[in-house]
Amino acid sequence: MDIEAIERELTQFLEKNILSENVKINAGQELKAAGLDSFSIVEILLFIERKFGFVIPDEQLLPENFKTIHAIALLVHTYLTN
Amino acid sequence: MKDKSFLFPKKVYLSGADWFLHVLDNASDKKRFDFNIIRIVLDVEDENYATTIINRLEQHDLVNWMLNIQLKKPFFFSKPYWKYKNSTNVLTVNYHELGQNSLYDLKLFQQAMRVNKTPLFACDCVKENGVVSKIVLSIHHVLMDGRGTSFFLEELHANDFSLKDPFDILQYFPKEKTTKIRWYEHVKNMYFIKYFMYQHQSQNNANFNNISSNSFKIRVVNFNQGESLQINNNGQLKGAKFGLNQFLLAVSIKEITELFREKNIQGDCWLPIPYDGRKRGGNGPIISNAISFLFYRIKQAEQKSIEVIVKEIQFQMMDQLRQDLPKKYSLFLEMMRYIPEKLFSFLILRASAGNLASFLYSASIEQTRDVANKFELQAKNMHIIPPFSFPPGLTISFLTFNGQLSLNLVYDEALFNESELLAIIARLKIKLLAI
Repeated sequence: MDIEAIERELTQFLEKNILSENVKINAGQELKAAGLDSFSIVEILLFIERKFGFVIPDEQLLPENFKTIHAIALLVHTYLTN
Repeated sequence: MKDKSFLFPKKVYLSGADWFLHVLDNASDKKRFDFNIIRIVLDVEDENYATTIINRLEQHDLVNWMLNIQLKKPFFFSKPYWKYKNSTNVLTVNYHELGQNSLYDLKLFQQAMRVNKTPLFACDCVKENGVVSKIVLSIHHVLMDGRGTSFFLEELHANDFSLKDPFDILQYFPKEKTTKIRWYEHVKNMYFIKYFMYQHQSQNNANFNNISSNSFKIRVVNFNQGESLQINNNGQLKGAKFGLNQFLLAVSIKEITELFREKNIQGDCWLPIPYDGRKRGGNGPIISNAISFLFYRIKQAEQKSIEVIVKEIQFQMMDQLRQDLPKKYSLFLEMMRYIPEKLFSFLILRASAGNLASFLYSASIEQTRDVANKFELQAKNMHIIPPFSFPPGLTISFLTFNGQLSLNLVYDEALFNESELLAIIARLKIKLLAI
Protein backbone atom coordinates (compact mmCIF):
# COMPACT_ATOMS: atom_id res chain seq x y z
CA MET A 1 0.00 0.00 0.00
CA ASP A 2 1.49 3.36 -0.98
CA ILE A 3 1.54 6.51 1.14
CA GLU A 4 -1.34 8.17 -0.77
CA ALA A 5 -3.57 5.13 -0.21
CA ILE A 6 -2.81 5.17 3.53
CA GLU A 7 -3.58 8.89 3.61
CA ARG A 8 -6.92 8.22 1.90
CA GLU A 9 -7.80 5.51 4.44
CA LEU A 10 -6.91 7.80 7.36
CA THR A 11 -8.78 10.78 5.88
CA GLN A 12 -11.86 8.67 5.32
CA PHE A 13 -11.73 7.34 8.89
CA LEU A 14 -11.36 10.83 10.36
CA GLU A 15 -14.14 12.38 8.26
CA LYS A 16 -16.54 9.55 8.98
CA ASN A 17 -15.84 8.91 12.66
CA ILE A 18 -14.06 11.81 14.32
CA LEU A 19 -14.76 15.06 12.52
CA SER A 20 -17.98 17.01 12.50
CA GLU A 21 -20.22 16.95 9.41
CA ASN A 22 -18.93 19.24 6.65
CA VAL A 23 -15.44 19.43 8.16
CA LYS A 24 -12.95 18.38 5.49
CA ILE A 25 -9.30 17.71 6.12
CA ASN A 26 -6.30 17.34 3.84
CA ALA A 27 -3.17 15.30 4.38
CA GLY A 28 -0.96 18.29 5.15
CA GLN A 29 -3.30 20.03 7.59
CA GLU A 30 -2.41 20.10 11.30
CA LEU A 31 -4.72 17.73 13.17
CA LYS A 32 -4.80 19.93 16.28
CA ALA A 33 -5.95 22.91 14.20
CA ALA A 34 -8.76 20.76 12.80
CA GLY A 35 -10.04 20.24 16.37
CA LEU A 36 -8.53 16.86 17.22
CA ASP A 37 -7.64 16.21 20.86
CA SER A 38 -5.77 13.52 22.78
CA PHE A 39 -8.75 11.13 22.68
CA SER A 40 -8.87 11.48 18.89
CA ILE A 41 -5.18 10.58 18.60
CA VAL A 42 -5.86 7.38 20.55
CA GLU A 43 -8.80 6.64 18.23
CA ILE A 44 -6.41 6.96 15.25
CA LEU A 45 -3.95 4.56 16.90
CA LEU A 46 -6.71 2.03 17.47
CA PHE A 47 -7.84 2.42 13.85
CA ILE A 48 -4.28 1.69 12.67
CA GLU A 49 -4.24 -1.43 14.87
CA ARG A 50 -7.50 -2.68 13.36
CA LYS A 51 -6.90 -1.69 9.76
CA PHE A 52 -3.20 -2.37 9.28
CA GLY A 53 -2.75 -5.05 11.92
CA PHE A 54 0.17 -3.70 13.93
CA VAL A 55 0.70 -1.65 17.06
CA ILE A 56 2.80 1.51 16.81
CA PRO A 57 5.56 1.09 19.38
CA ASP A 58 5.76 3.42 22.34
CA GLU A 59 8.97 5.10 21.19
CA GLN A 60 7.28 6.20 17.94
CA LEU A 61 4.40 7.94 19.76
CA LEU A 62 5.96 11.35 19.27
CA PRO A 63 4.05 14.60 18.62
CA GLU A 64 5.79 15.09 15.24
CA ASN A 65 4.56 11.66 14.05
CA PHE A 66 0.94 12.65 14.74
CA LYS A 67 0.96 16.22 13.52
CA THR A 68 -0.71 15.60 10.16
CA ILE A 69 -2.30 12.75 8.24
CA HIS A 70 0.78 12.72 6.00
CA ALA A 71 3.10 12.24 9.01
CA ILE A 72 0.99 9.33 10.27
CA ALA A 73 0.85 7.79 6.79
CA LEU A 74 4.65 7.94 6.53
CA LEU A 75 4.97 6.14 9.86
CA VAL A 76 2.44 3.47 8.91
CA HIS A 77 4.12 3.02 5.52
CA THR A 78 7.51 2.46 7.18
CA TYR A 79 6.08 -0.34 9.30
CA LEU A 80 4.16 -1.91 6.44
CA THR A 81 7.17 -2.06 4.18
CA ASN A 82 9.67 -3.31 6.79
CA MET B 1 -34.67 43.28 19.04
CA LYS B 2 -36.71 40.78 17.03
CA ASP B 3 -38.36 38.04 19.02
CA LYS B 4 -37.11 34.78 17.55
CA SER B 5 -38.42 32.57 20.33
CA PHE B 6 -40.95 31.01 17.93
CA LEU B 7 -37.94 29.27 16.35
CA PHE B 8 -36.98 27.49 19.58
CA PRO B 9 -37.61 23.76 19.55
CA LYS B 10 -40.73 22.91 21.60
CA LYS B 11 -38.96 20.29 23.63
CA VAL B 12 -35.23 20.07 24.23
CA TYR B 13 -34.58 16.63 25.64
CA LEU B 14 -31.96 16.33 28.35
CA SER B 15 -29.06 14.11 27.33
CA GLY B 16 -28.27 11.04 29.42
CA ALA B 17 -25.38 12.95 31.05
CA ASP B 18 -27.62 16.00 31.79
CA TRP B 19 -30.13 13.80 33.59
CA PHE B 20 -27.36 11.88 35.37
CA LEU B 21 -25.89 15.17 36.71
CA HIS B 22 -29.31 16.35 37.82
CA VAL B 23 -30.11 13.11 39.62
CA LEU B 24 -26.65 13.03 41.19
CA ASP B 25 -27.06 16.61 42.43
CA ASN B 26 -30.39 15.80 44.00
CA ALA B 27 -29.11 12.59 45.54
CA SER B 28 -26.09 14.21 47.15
CA ASP B 29 -25.87 16.41 50.19
CA LYS B 30 -28.95 18.62 50.06
CA LYS B 31 -27.13 21.73 51.16
CA ARG B 32 -24.63 21.47 48.34
CA PHE B 33 -26.59 20.51 45.32
CA ASP B 34 -27.37 24.04 44.18
CA PHE B 35 -23.75 24.82 43.32
CA ASN B 36 -23.21 22.70 40.25
CA ILE B 37 -22.49 25.92 38.38
CA ILE B 38 -19.83 26.76 35.81
CA ARG B 39 -18.60 30.32 36.34
CA ILE B 40 -16.72 32.22 33.67
CA VAL B 41 -14.71 35.25 34.74
CA LEU B 42 -13.86 37.62 31.90
CA ASP B 43 -11.22 40.27 32.62
CA VAL B 44 -12.32 43.54 31.08
CA GLU B 45 -9.73 45.35 28.97
CA ASP B 46 -11.75 48.56 28.42
CA GLU B 47 -15.24 49.89 28.93
CA ASN B 48 -16.13 49.25 25.30
CA TYR B 49 -15.51 45.51 25.72
CA ALA B 50 -17.79 45.36 28.79
CA THR B 51 -20.59 47.29 27.05
CA THR B 52 -20.38 45.13 23.92
CA ILE B 53 -20.49 41.84 25.86
CA ILE B 54 -23.40 42.96 28.05
CA ASN B 55 -25.36 44.20 25.00
CA ARG B 56 -24.75 40.91 23.24
CA LEU B 57 -25.87 38.91 26.27
CA GLU B 58 -29.04 40.99 26.59
CA GLN B 59 -29.92 40.27 22.94
CA HIS B 60 -28.75 36.67 22.93
CA ASP B 61 -31.43 34.18 21.88
CA LEU B 62 -29.84 31.38 23.86
CA VAL B 63 -29.63 33.51 27.00
CA ASN B 64 -33.32 34.29 26.56
CA TRP B 65 -34.00 30.55 26.26
CA MET B 66 -31.88 29.68 29.32
CA LEU B 67 -33.70 32.26 31.45
CA ASN B 68 -37.15 30.95 30.55
CA ILE B 69 -37.10 27.18 30.67
CA GLN B 70 -38.68 24.65 32.93
CA LEU B 71 -37.55 21.09 33.52
CA LYS B 72 -40.20 18.49 32.80
CA LYS B 73 -39.35 15.28 34.57
CA PRO B 74 -39.98 11.87 32.98
CA PHE B 75 -43.25 10.16 33.63
CA PHE B 76 -43.61 6.49 32.74
CA PHE B 77 -41.29 5.78 29.84
CA SER B 78 -40.96 9.33 28.68
CA LYS B 79 -37.75 11.37 28.68
CA PRO B 80 -36.98 14.52 30.70
CA TYR B 81 -36.98 17.71 28.67
CA TRP B 82 -36.64 21.49 28.89
CA LYS B 83 -39.79 23.39 28.07
CA TYR B 84 -39.51 27.00 26.96
CA LYS B 85 -42.20 29.02 28.76
CA ASN B 86 -42.50 32.64 27.60
CA SER B 87 -39.87 35.33 27.40
CA THR B 88 -41.01 36.78 30.72
CA ASN B 89 -37.59 36.68 32.38
CA VAL B 90 -35.06 39.09 30.96
CA LEU B 91 -31.39 39.29 31.80
CA THR B 92 -30.68 41.44 34.83
CA VAL B 93 -27.05 42.38 35.24
CA ASN B 94 -26.05 42.71 38.88
CA TYR B 95 -23.22 45.06 39.82
CA HIS B 96 -20.84 44.53 42.76
CA GLU B 97 -18.08 46.76 44.09
CA LEU B 98 -14.88 44.83 44.80
CA GLY B 99 -13.65 47.23 47.48
CA GLN B 100 -11.12 45.57 49.80
CA ASN B 101 -12.37 42.04 49.07
CA SER B 102 -10.56 39.49 47.01
CA LEU B 103 -12.58 38.59 43.91
CA TYR B 104 -13.49 35.02 44.84
CA ASP B 105 -14.65 36.03 48.31
CA LEU B 106 -17.50 38.06 46.79
CA LYS B 107 -20.95 36.74 47.62
CA LEU B 108 -21.84 36.30 43.96
CA PHE B 109 -19.63 33.18 43.84
CA GLN B 110 -21.71 31.63 46.62
CA GLN B 111 -24.98 32.33 44.81
CA ALA B 112 -26.98 29.12 44.30
CA MET B 113 -28.98 28.10 41.25
CA ARG B 114 -31.86 25.70 41.48
CA VAL B 115 -33.53 23.93 38.59
CA ASN B 116 -37.17 25.15 38.25
CA LYS B 117 -36.70 27.66 41.08
CA THR B 118 -34.18 30.20 39.77
CA PRO B 119 -32.95 31.16 36.28
CA LEU B 120 -30.10 28.90 35.19
CA PHE B 121 -28.01 31.71 33.71
CA ALA B 122 -26.76 34.84 35.45
CA CYS B 123 -24.50 37.78 34.65
CA ASP B 124 -22.67 39.83 37.27
CA CYS B 125 -20.26 42.73 36.85
CA VAL B 126 -17.54 43.52 39.35
CA LYS B 127 -16.46 47.13 39.62
CA GLU B 128 -13.16 48.48 40.86
CA ASN B 129 -13.22 52.20 41.70
CA GLY B 130 -16.56 52.51 39.88
CA VAL B 131 -15.32 50.91 36.63
CA VAL B 132 -16.30 47.42 35.47
CA SER B 133 -13.21 45.19 35.72
CA LYS B 134 -14.74 41.69 35.51
CA ILE B 135 -17.80 40.11 33.97
CA VAL B 136 -18.89 36.89 35.67
CA LEU B 137 -21.21 34.53 33.81
CA SER B 138 -22.84 31.70 35.76
CA ILE B 139 -24.39 28.75 33.96
CA HIS B 140 -25.93 25.69 35.60
CA HIS B 141 -23.92 22.59 34.67
CA VAL B 142 -27.05 20.57 33.87
CA LEU B 143 -27.54 22.88 30.88
CA MET B 144 -24.07 22.98 29.46
CA ASP B 145 -20.70 21.22 29.64
CA GLY B 146 -17.21 22.66 29.33
CA ARG B 147 -17.00 22.36 25.54
CA GLY B 148 -20.48 23.89 25.15
CA THR B 149 -19.35 26.77 27.37
CA SER B 150 -16.36 27.26 25.13
CA PHE B 151 -18.58 27.37 21.98
CA PHE B 152 -20.88 29.86 23.72
CA LEU B 153 -17.92 32.11 24.57
CA GLU B 154 -16.47 31.86 21.06
CA GLU B 155 -19.79 32.99 19.60
CA LEU B 156 -20.09 35.81 22.12
CA HIS B 157 -16.66 37.09 21.05
CA ALA B 158 -17.14 36.66 17.28
CA ASN B 159 -17.05 39.61 14.88
CA ASP B 160 -20.12 38.41 12.99
CA PHE B 161 -22.22 38.10 16.16
CA SER B 162 -25.02 40.41 14.99
CA LEU B 163 -25.05 39.04 11.42
CA LYS B 164 -26.21 35.57 12.35
CA ASP B 165 -28.95 33.87 10.40
CA PRO B 166 -32.00 33.53 12.70
CA PHE B 167 -32.18 29.81 11.90
CA ASP B 168 -28.68 29.38 13.32
CA ILE B 169 -30.24 29.24 16.76
CA LEU B 170 -31.24 25.64 16.02
CA GLN B 171 -27.56 24.73 16.11
CA TYR B 172 -27.46 25.62 19.80
CA PHE B 173 -29.55 22.59 20.65
CA PRO B 174 -28.72 18.89 20.59
CA LYS B 175 -30.38 16.68 18.03
CA GLU B 176 -32.06 13.65 19.51
CA LYS B 177 -30.67 10.48 17.94
CA THR B 178 -33.01 8.87 15.46
CA THR B 179 -31.40 5.43 15.22
CA LYS B 180 -33.56 2.90 17.00
CA ILE B 181 -31.80 0.63 19.44
CA ARG B 182 -33.53 -2.61 20.25
CA TRP B 183 -34.36 -3.32 23.89
CA TYR B 184 -32.12 -6.39 24.08
CA GLU B 185 -29.16 -4.29 22.87
CA HIS B 186 -29.86 -1.91 25.75
CA VAL B 187 -29.99 -4.83 28.19
CA LYS B 188 -26.74 -6.27 26.82
CA ASN B 189 -25.11 -2.85 27.09
CA MET B 190 -26.44 -2.37 30.63
CA TYR B 191 -24.84 -5.65 31.71
CA PHE B 192 -21.54 -4.62 30.13
CA ILE B 193 -21.58 -1.36 32.12
CA LYS B 194 -22.72 -3.07 35.29
CA TYR B 195 -19.90 -5.61 34.98
CA PHE B 196 -17.34 -2.91 34.18
CA MET B 197 -18.37 -0.76 37.14
CA TYR B 198 -18.50 -3.78 39.44
CA GLN B 199 -14.96 -4.71 38.39
CA HIS B 200 -13.55 -1.22 38.62
CA GLN B 201 -15.54 0.95 41.01
CA SER B 202 -16.46 -1.22 43.96
CA GLN B 203 -13.00 -1.30 45.43
CA ASN B 204 -10.98 0.47 48.01
CA ASN B 205 -11.31 4.12 46.95
CA ALA B 206 -9.69 6.96 48.83
CA ASN B 207 -11.86 10.06 49.19
CA PHE B 208 -12.62 13.07 51.38
CA ASN B 209 -16.30 12.18 51.72
CA ASN B 210 -16.33 12.27 55.50
CA ILE B 211 -14.90 15.77 55.63
CA SER B 212 -17.54 18.36 54.93
CA SER B 213 -18.42 21.89 55.98
CA ASN B 214 -20.98 22.68 53.25
CA SER B 215 -19.14 25.83 52.29
CA PHE B 216 -16.50 26.18 49.65
CA LYS B 217 -13.64 28.34 48.45
CA ILE B 218 -12.15 29.12 45.07
CA ARG B 219 -8.50 29.59 44.24
CA VAL B 220 -7.00 30.47 40.85
CA VAL B 221 -3.30 30.16 40.06
CA ASN B 222 -1.95 31.79 36.90
CA PHE B 223 1.16 30.78 35.00
CA ASN B 224 2.86 33.19 32.62
CA GLN B 225 3.67 32.25 29.01
CA GLY B 226 7.21 31.10 29.84
CA GLU B 227 5.97 28.89 32.67
CA SER B 228 3.16 27.53 30.49
CA LEU B 229 5.69 26.53 27.81
CA GLN B 230 7.84 24.90 30.47
CA ILE B 231 4.85 22.89 31.73
CA ASN B 232 4.09 21.81 28.17
CA ASN B 233 7.68 20.64 27.68
CA ASN B 234 7.60 18.84 31.04
CA GLY B 235 4.51 16.95 29.93
CA GLN B 236 6.45 15.49 27.01
CA LEU B 237 9.48 14.74 29.20
CA LYS B 238 7.30 12.87 31.69
CA GLY B 239 5.90 10.69 28.91
CA ALA B 240 2.56 12.33 28.05
CA LYS B 241 2.31 11.01 24.48
CA PHE B 242 -1.17 12.17 23.54
CA GLY B 243 -1.20 15.73 24.86
CA LEU B 244 -0.63 17.91 27.91
CA ASN B 245 -3.84 16.79 29.56
CA GLN B 246 -2.46 13.44 30.76
CA PHE B 247 0.45 15.23 32.46
CA LEU B 248 -1.81 17.77 34.20
CA LEU B 249 -4.06 14.99 35.39
CA ALA B 250 -1.10 12.92 36.62
CA VAL B 251 0.28 15.90 38.57
CA SER B 252 -3.13 16.44 40.17
CA ILE B 253 -3.41 12.75 41.09
CA LYS B 254 0.10 12.71 42.56
CA GLU B 255 -0.64 15.75 44.74
CA ILE B 256 -4.01 14.48 45.93
CA THR B 257 -2.70 11.02 46.77
CA GLU B 258 0.06 12.64 48.84
CA LEU B 259 -2.65 14.59 50.64
CA PHE B 260 -4.55 11.38 51.32
CA ARG B 261 -1.44 9.94 52.93
CA GLU B 262 -0.95 13.07 55.06
CA LYS B 263 -4.53 12.77 56.28
CA ASN B 264 -4.26 9.00 56.79
CA ILE B 265 -6.83 8.26 54.10
CA GLN B 266 -6.17 4.84 52.60
CA GLY B 267 -7.07 3.55 49.16
CA ASP B 268 -6.68 3.89 45.43
CA CYS B 269 -7.37 7.02 43.45
CA TRP B 270 -10.63 6.61 41.50
CA LEU B 271 -11.53 9.19 38.88
CA PRO B 272 -14.33 9.56 36.35
CA ILE B 273 -13.02 11.75 33.51
CA PRO B 274 -15.41 13.48 31.11
CA TYR B 275 -15.12 12.43 27.48
CA ASP B 276 -16.53 14.86 24.93
CA GLY B 277 -18.95 12.90 22.76
CA ARG B 278 -19.22 15.59 20.05
CA LYS B 279 -17.62 15.18 16.68
CA ARG B 280 -14.48 17.34 16.49
CA GLY B 281 -14.04 20.58 14.54
CA GLY B 282 -17.68 21.70 14.77
CA ASN B 283 -19.25 24.44 16.84
CA GLY B 284 -22.12 22.83 18.63
CA PRO B 285 -24.33 21.90 20.22
CA ILE B 286 -23.93 24.43 23.02
CA ILE B 287 -26.80 23.16 25.13
CA SER B 288 -26.52 19.77 26.89
CA ASN B 289 -23.74 17.77 28.41
CA ALA B 290 -22.62 15.85 25.34
CA ILE B 291 -20.26 13.89 27.49
CA SER B 292 -19.55 10.37 28.53
CA PHE B 293 -16.84 9.15 30.90
CA LEU B 294 -13.61 7.23 31.15
CA PHE B 295 -12.74 5.84 34.56
CA TYR B 296 -9.19 5.75 35.87
CA ARG B 297 -8.01 3.78 38.88
CA ILE B 298 -4.51 4.59 40.09
CA LYS B 299 -3.59 1.95 42.64
CA GLN B 300 -1.46 2.83 45.63
CA ALA B 301 1.55 1.03 44.15
CA GLU B 302 1.25 3.13 40.99
CA GLN B 303 1.20 6.45 42.83
CA LYS B 304 5.00 6.54 43.20
CA SER B 305 5.90 9.01 40.48
CA ILE B 306 4.29 11.27 37.90
CA GLU B 307 5.85 9.22 35.08
CA VAL B 308 4.24 6.01 36.35
CA ILE B 309 0.85 7.74 36.73
CA VAL B 310 1.06 9.21 33.18
CA LYS B 311 1.85 5.74 31.81
CA GLU B 312 -1.02 4.17 33.74
CA ILE B 313 -3.52 6.83 32.60
CA GLN B 314 -2.50 6.33 28.98
CA PHE B 315 -2.78 2.55 29.28
CA GLN B 316 -6.26 2.74 30.85
CA MET B 317 -7.39 5.39 28.34
CA MET B 318 -6.37 3.20 25.38
CA ASP B 319 -7.87 0.10 26.94
CA GLN B 320 -11.24 1.77 27.61
CA LEU B 321 -11.39 3.42 24.18
CA ARG B 322 -10.58 0.01 22.66
CA GLN B 323 -13.62 -1.38 24.49
CA ASP B 324 -15.68 1.58 23.21
CA LEU B 325 -16.55 2.42 26.81
CA PRO B 326 -17.55 6.10 26.30
CA LYS B 327 -20.11 5.15 23.65
CA LYS B 328 -21.45 2.29 25.77
CA TYR B 329 -21.64 4.40 28.92
CA SER B 330 -23.41 7.13 26.98
CA LEU B 331 -25.96 4.62 25.66
CA PHE B 332 -26.46 3.40 29.23
CA LEU B 333 -27.09 6.95 30.48
CA GLU B 334 -29.50 7.59 27.61
CA MET B 335 -31.48 4.54 28.63
CA MET B 336 -31.52 5.63 32.27
CA ARG B 337 -33.52 8.73 31.31
CA TYR B 338 -36.58 6.47 31.19
CA ILE B 339 -36.09 5.33 34.79
CA PRO B 340 -37.98 7.26 37.49
CA GLU B 341 -35.70 9.77 39.21
CA LYS B 342 -35.90 8.22 42.69
CA LEU B 343 -35.06 4.75 41.41
CA PHE B 344 -32.16 6.09 39.33
CA SER B 345 -30.86 8.00 42.33
CA PHE B 346 -31.12 4.89 44.53
CA LEU B 347 -29.24 2.80 41.94
CA ILE B 348 -26.41 5.36 41.63
CA LEU B 349 -25.89 5.63 45.37
CA ARG B 350 -26.10 1.89 45.90
CA ALA B 351 -23.66 1.12 43.10
CA SER B 352 -21.12 3.72 44.15
CA ALA B 353 -21.55 3.21 47.92
CA GLY B 354 -20.51 6.83 48.41
CA ASN B 355 -17.36 6.38 46.34
CA LEU B 356 -18.20 8.55 43.37
CA ALA B 357 -14.67 9.87 42.94
CA SER B 358 -11.48 10.59 44.87
CA PHE B 359 -11.66 14.12 43.51
CA LEU B 360 -13.05 15.69 40.36
CA TYR B 361 -10.94 16.72 37.42
CA SER B 362 -12.50 18.81 34.73
CA ALA B 363 -11.17 17.92 31.33
CA SER B 364 -14.15 18.85 29.23
CA ILE B 365 -12.27 21.77 27.74
CA GLU B 366 -9.26 20.11 26.19
CA GLN B 367 -6.31 21.67 27.94
CA THR B 368 -4.14 21.74 24.87
CA ARG B 369 -6.73 23.85 23.07
CA ASP B 370 -6.36 27.58 23.62
CA VAL B 371 -9.84 29.04 24.09
CA ALA B 372 -8.65 32.50 23.02
CA ASN B 373 -7.65 31.25 19.56
CA LYS B 374 -11.14 31.73 18.23
CA PHE B 375 -11.92 34.99 20.03
CA GLU B 376 -12.11 37.98 17.69
CA LEU B 377 -13.22 40.45 20.34
CA GLN B 378 -10.50 39.98 22.94
CA ALA B 379 -10.93 39.65 26.66
CA LYS B 380 -7.84 40.57 28.68
CA ASN B 381 -7.96 37.21 30.39
CA MET B 382 -10.49 34.53 31.24
CA HIS B 383 -10.96 31.89 33.92
CA ILE B 384 -13.48 29.11 34.10
CA ILE B 385 -14.27 28.16 37.67
CA PRO B 386 -15.40 24.53 37.75
CA PRO B 387 -18.58 23.59 39.62
CA PHE B 388 -18.59 22.74 43.27
CA SER B 389 -20.91 19.81 43.35
CA PHE B 390 -21.57 16.54 45.08
CA PRO B 391 -18.90 14.90 47.22
CA PRO B 392 -15.86 14.62 47.17
CA GLY B 393 -15.85 18.40 47.48
CA LEU B 394 -12.68 19.07 45.51
CA THR B 395 -12.51 19.95 41.82
CA ILE B 396 -9.37 20.76 39.88
CA SER B 397 -9.36 22.16 36.37
CA PHE B 398 -6.87 23.73 34.00
CA LEU B 399 -7.44 26.22 31.22
CA THR B 400 -5.19 27.71 28.57
CA PHE B 401 -5.99 31.26 27.49
CA ASN B 402 -3.70 33.33 25.25
CA GLY B 403 -0.91 30.81 25.75
CA GLN B 404 -1.18 31.09 29.53
CA LEU B 405 -2.18 28.16 31.69
CA SER B 406 -4.29 28.61 34.80
CA LEU B 407 -5.05 26.15 37.55
CA ASN B 408 -8.50 26.44 39.12
CA LEU B 409 -9.36 24.86 42.44
CA VAL B 410 -12.75 24.68 44.11
CA TYR B 411 -12.73 22.96 47.49
CA ASP B 412 -14.67 22.38 50.67
CA GLU B 413 -13.40 24.69 53.38
CA ALA B 414 -13.15 21.79 55.82
CA LEU B 415 -10.58 19.99 53.64
CA PHE B 416 -7.69 22.42 54.04
CA ASN B 417 -6.90 25.54 55.98
CA GLU B 418 -5.15 28.50 54.35
CA SER B 419 -1.60 27.38 55.13
CA GLU B 420 -2.30 23.83 53.93
CA LEU B 421 -3.74 25.24 50.72
CA LEU B 422 -0.67 27.41 50.12
CA ALA B 423 1.51 24.35 50.60
CA ILE B 424 -0.62 22.36 48.12
CA ILE B 425 -0.34 25.13 45.53
CA ALA B 426 3.42 25.40 46.05
CA ARG B 427 3.82 21.63 45.63
CA LEU B 428 1.61 21.60 42.54
CA LYS B 429 3.75 24.37 41.02
CA ILE B 430 6.93 22.41 41.71
CA LYS B 431 5.47 19.27 40.15
CA LEU B 432 4.30 21.16 37.07
CA LEU B 433 7.43 23.22 36.55
CA ALA B 434 10.28 21.04 37.80
CA ILE B 435 12.31 19.22 35.17
